[in-house]
Amino acid sequence: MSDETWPDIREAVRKLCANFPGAYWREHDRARSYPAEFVRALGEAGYLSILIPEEYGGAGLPLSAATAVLEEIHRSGGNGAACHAQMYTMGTLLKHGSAEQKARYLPRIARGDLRLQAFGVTEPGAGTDTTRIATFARREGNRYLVSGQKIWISRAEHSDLMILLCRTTRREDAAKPGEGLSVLLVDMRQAAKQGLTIRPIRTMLNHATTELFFDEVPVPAENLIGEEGKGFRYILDGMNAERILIASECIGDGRFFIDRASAYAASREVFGRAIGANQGVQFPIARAHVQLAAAALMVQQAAALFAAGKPCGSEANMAKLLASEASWFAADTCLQIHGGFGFAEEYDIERKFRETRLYQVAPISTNLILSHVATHVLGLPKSF
Amino acid sequence: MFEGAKRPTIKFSDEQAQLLDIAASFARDKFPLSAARARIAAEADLDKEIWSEMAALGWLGVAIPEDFGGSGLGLGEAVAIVEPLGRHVAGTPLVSTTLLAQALLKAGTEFQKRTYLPKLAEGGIGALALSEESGDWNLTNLAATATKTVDGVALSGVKTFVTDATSAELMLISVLWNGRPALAVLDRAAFGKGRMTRETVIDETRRSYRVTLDGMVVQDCYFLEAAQTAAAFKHLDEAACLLAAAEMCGGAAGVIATTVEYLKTRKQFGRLIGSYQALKHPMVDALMLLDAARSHLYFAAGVVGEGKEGEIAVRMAKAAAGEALAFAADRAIQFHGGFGFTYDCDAQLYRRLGLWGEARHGDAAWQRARLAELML
Ligand SMILES: Cc1cc2nc3c(=O)[nH]c(=O)nc-3n(C[C@H](O)[C@H](O)[C@H](O)COP(=O)(O)OP(=O)(O)OC[C@H]3O[C@@H](n4cnc5c(N)ncnc54)[C@H](O)[C@@H]3O)c2cc1C
Repeated sequence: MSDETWPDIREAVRKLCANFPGAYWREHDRARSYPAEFVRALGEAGYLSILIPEEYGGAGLPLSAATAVLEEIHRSGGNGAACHAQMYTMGTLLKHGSAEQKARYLPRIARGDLRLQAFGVTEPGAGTDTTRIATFARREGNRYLVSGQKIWISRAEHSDLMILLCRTTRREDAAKPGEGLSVLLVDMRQAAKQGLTIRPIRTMLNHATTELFFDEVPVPAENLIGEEGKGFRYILDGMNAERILIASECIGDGRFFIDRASAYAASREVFGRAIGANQGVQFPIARAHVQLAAAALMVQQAAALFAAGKPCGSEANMAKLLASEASWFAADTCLQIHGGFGFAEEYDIERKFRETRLYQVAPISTNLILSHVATHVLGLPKSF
Repeated sequence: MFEGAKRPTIKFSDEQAQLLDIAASFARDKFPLSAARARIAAEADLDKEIWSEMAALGWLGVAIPEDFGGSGLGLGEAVAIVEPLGRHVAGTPLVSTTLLAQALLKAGTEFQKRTYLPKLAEGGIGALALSEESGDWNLTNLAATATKTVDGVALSGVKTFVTDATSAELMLISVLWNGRPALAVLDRAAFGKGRMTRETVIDETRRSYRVTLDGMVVQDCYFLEAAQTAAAFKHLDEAACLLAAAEMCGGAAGVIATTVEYLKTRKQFGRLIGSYQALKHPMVDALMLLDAARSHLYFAAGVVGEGKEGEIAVRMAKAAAGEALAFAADRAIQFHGGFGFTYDCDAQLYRRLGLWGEARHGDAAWQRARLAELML
């Protein structure tokens, strides 16, 4: 499988997704319930461990293979958000964990016995401005005691482990704002018995996101990943994969919308001809396709840099910005072209419309990407 | 915010609407685009006869009280005259003349008002020497200076974008005097033509000059009342933005008409290009932007015309007009195809009008930044 577009994987994922039609996703969307059957099928087929090196039991494929999987899921009308993090969250462990931690967890994650798909960074008082997080891990003997609050932590109820970013030195006592942050691997089942409260948050999409309250939650010191105080860098490292994979979901969403819009525009007749015969209808779809194609190239480029181990922070962010805006434009166009039917649940368009909108805010908002590009790529002064 | 019976609306008053009608037909007759092109080619000032007719109609003193020889209307009415002139790319000194009068009304001494306002209303051209090379849109950020000497007040500095400087009777200049922004109105006798160098500017209908103040000595009676100067600067800025918005709304209307005309005559693939949605729908977008800009403009005209605090309304109007014209003129160039990129196509006249209008007194982004300061 040397072909970077992964036609075999795409074909297989399409087949798998065919078992999970729109009605399946609508049901879960309505009930705001977790698509466990889909996640199980995807895991059993081995797609969730696709990025884990073969020595730990994964497929050891490059990031582009994972982008192919997620893109196809989204193009089929599904939503990979329920499990995409199972693919990449382990990256922090793989890159910065000790040999012992890797040997202990990665094979079980690869088998699907352990779910590591929760990533706890955001707090009510610190979203974009990550170094202001206040959740604190106090060292006491051979354990940490964690107190604080996290918000928007997705899949926390469907994950056995969580990568948690917290402070081990208060911001004001640290040499730099980006220091004094540490990464802990939290056993969610244990934690739930020892002071962790998880509260689901209902959002406009079915996203299994939650709010976490830590009250002196013990975490064994051996669960510290890497060095104490250096965690911010580890998290930043892991974000590139996340950005690129989420961008590929946007590409899939965009293709879904464009497929649907084209099909509908060609078949729906108004005033005695197909609505797609109007430039006012076909040009926006064509534009959506053009924008999406450009964004897809950026995603590919970022994934290739990532796979080659080269710096790709700017490319990953730019890919996410372009892809999320292209999918949003495609979504808006598709909804508009469907007229009233776009609003009917059974067309799945309004659901996908809600789902794809998220990616202009999470995991990082568009403004912050522009700020990153302005300062880090163009060398302009920091604006805040 | 606006209590009482005369609440400004987004429509013109009957008086303003009437004036708009008259000005529209006057501009149509007197300012065909061919005249603008001829004037550009000949490097000529405005036809004196037309200017006299405008004076006779009372337009040059439209915002000057009757006591001082004007028509006793206001800036709101000036908007109704400037808009159609913009539509025909007339490039007259009406705006600078009106603004000079406004400065006098705000901060002129009784003597200055009595002497100069009637002159302006009768047809004396007013020029504004306010901009400097720094290009700062903040009118009080100045480098030119005035210094008291035994002979009078010595001036120094360079002013740019002084339109119609060579034909002007009066010139308004801004300088720093003792570190504070000051305004003076100089008459023709005070400034020689040798100080003026013709500037090539984007809008070729403008006769724009660079004016050197260095070495000029004037009497301090030329200066406007120091106590009123800050208010005069603020008022000048607002009035200038208001009239620029009017001119640009007119420009947008003109370029839309020009383009629609072309879409109705040019054929490709055996059909009028105007039948293609990708061309006709954006013209509707342009019209809607213009309509929105006009609503802002007429509201601002109402607010300022009644002497109310109008900065917010005026800045919104200028931003909206600038963007409406930029969009319409850009689409005009695109929709004229290859012809759109030629000098012969009228689209360029409007695009230049828009670039000029945006570059004077702050473009849309700058207006929005000021609005953010005022509103947030
Ligand atoms: C459904 C969902 C799932 C999520 N899942 C997770 C998760 O699993 N784990 C996790 O850690 N987080 C998660 N998040 C959180 C997400 O990463 C944050 O919402 C996001 O980073 C924005 O932070 P914020 O909401 O605090 O917005 P804020 O930081 O408060 O920003 C608000 C707005 O202001 C803008 N802004 C802020 N600062 C600037 C500036 N300097 N210049 C210009 N504009 C600025 C932003 O762009 C944004 O539009 C999730 C969020 C959602 C909605």
